[in-house]
Amino acid sequence: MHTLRQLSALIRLSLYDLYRRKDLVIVTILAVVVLVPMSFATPFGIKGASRYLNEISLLLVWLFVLVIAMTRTARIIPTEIDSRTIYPLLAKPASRTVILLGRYAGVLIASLSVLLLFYGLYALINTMKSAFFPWEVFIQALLLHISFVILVTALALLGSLFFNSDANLSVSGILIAGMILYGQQLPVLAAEHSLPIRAILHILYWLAPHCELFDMRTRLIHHWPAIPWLACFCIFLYALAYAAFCFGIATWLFNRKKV
Amino acid sequence: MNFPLTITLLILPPCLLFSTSNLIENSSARCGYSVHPQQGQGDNLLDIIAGDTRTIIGNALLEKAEAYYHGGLTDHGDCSLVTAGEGHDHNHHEDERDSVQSSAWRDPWSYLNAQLQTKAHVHLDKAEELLPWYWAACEASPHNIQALEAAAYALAQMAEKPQAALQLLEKGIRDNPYNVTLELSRGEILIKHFKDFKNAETAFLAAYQKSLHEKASKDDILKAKALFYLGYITKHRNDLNALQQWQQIARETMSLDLLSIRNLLELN
Repeated sequence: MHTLRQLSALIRLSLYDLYRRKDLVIVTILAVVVLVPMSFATPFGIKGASRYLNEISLLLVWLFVLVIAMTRTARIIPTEIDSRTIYPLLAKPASRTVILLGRYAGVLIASLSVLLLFYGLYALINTMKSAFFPWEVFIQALLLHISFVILVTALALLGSLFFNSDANLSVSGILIAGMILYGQQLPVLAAEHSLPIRAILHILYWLAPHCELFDMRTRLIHHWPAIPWLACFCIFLYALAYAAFCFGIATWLFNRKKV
Repeated sequence: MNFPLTITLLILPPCLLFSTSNLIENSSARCGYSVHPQQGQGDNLLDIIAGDTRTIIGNALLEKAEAYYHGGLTDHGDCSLVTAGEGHDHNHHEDERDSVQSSAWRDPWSYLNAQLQTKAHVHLDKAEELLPWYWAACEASPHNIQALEAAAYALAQMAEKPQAALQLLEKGIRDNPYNVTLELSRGEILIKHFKDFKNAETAFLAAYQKSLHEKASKDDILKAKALFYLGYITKHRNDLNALQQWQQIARETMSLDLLSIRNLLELN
């Protein structure tokens, strides 16, 4: 019970931090500035297009949530060490594991609250605009996006114990973007190269996070049918397992870190 | 810094840049290559700054429109908008996925990825969903003939807005004055949607004349198509002398293996 209270205090701290910094307000204004003029556009004088708006909206949701989640997580440890706010935290009667878990859970919940807000707005606008809305695909897309956020925050948390926040953002960003774009092409690339590079590409294929599996935007935009729920849960479990692995290593490192 | 030196420093670099660029351009033209590949084909400021980036963006947007036409599928092989409706086999996608499913345990990532892809290959019949991407492709790259043609096709055939298609093609012709394809497309729309044979003949004549121009691409199929339409229009107005003239030109200058030329020679 005591641990839960400590955790909830740390989570509240992260939520206050997110909403105090106005990151959410800025990304929402940015989204409105991009999307509102587009919604009034009539290319060649013909109205009625909606899919391109959905596509751009979802792209912005992906970008903004990723930026918020990564920047928040990457700042957890290095910034607290730099600003020396880590010492009052460590002085409290809480283990380092609880502190790290609390900070991680706080950032994760803050990022997920942004995600839920954007998906809620997306669903609201689409149900108002058209009679048909693919709810099943929408829920699957949301679940997989939640899985994605769980995974990338854990990855950024692990990175924050190796690098400072800027380097962490760059390395994690390259890894995530690279896997989204080329994750499925790695075996083909490996087959085209000789041994040392082939082995590296195979290791990367098996160990790097397969972020491309969480992207259901095309399915949602073009009203494709839902994927099998078993596959959806497999991907969700994969994200949980990967995040738990990253968090486990991060905890081990943090417990041994000299602060 | 004294005044004359400042003036000299301000004037000298532009003069040097202008003279050397002209020198390089002239000498490279003699060697047979262009010195400004980054400039695209236009002379406006955006062309000079953005250069070939505009072409790349235009092609990407055109690809996006093609994907929309295929219901979001990016891997649709050769089933392009131009070949739409000609009937093609979509079962190959299912075959590929079956083989992926068999290797689920060997490669779970590609198995899960295959689950995320669709098995259905549908063609979009609502042109309005394609038009934003075609519009963006044409705006990004005014020299992208494929984008202009595809946009005109979607406007005229799918959205039933031939007037808008004509306006787009006319703008495209202004931006690409030596292009034969756009003139042919304009003529076809004039015949098919407006039954305006007079203006269509002007368009096909322009297409034929442009096909003879040294700056136009040497594509015999386009020239043959222009000749066929010219013959077809002269036949339509019962001007048999003009028809024979076009047939004579076709016999003398074109290969008889071309379908359009064979069709032209069969007109009587």
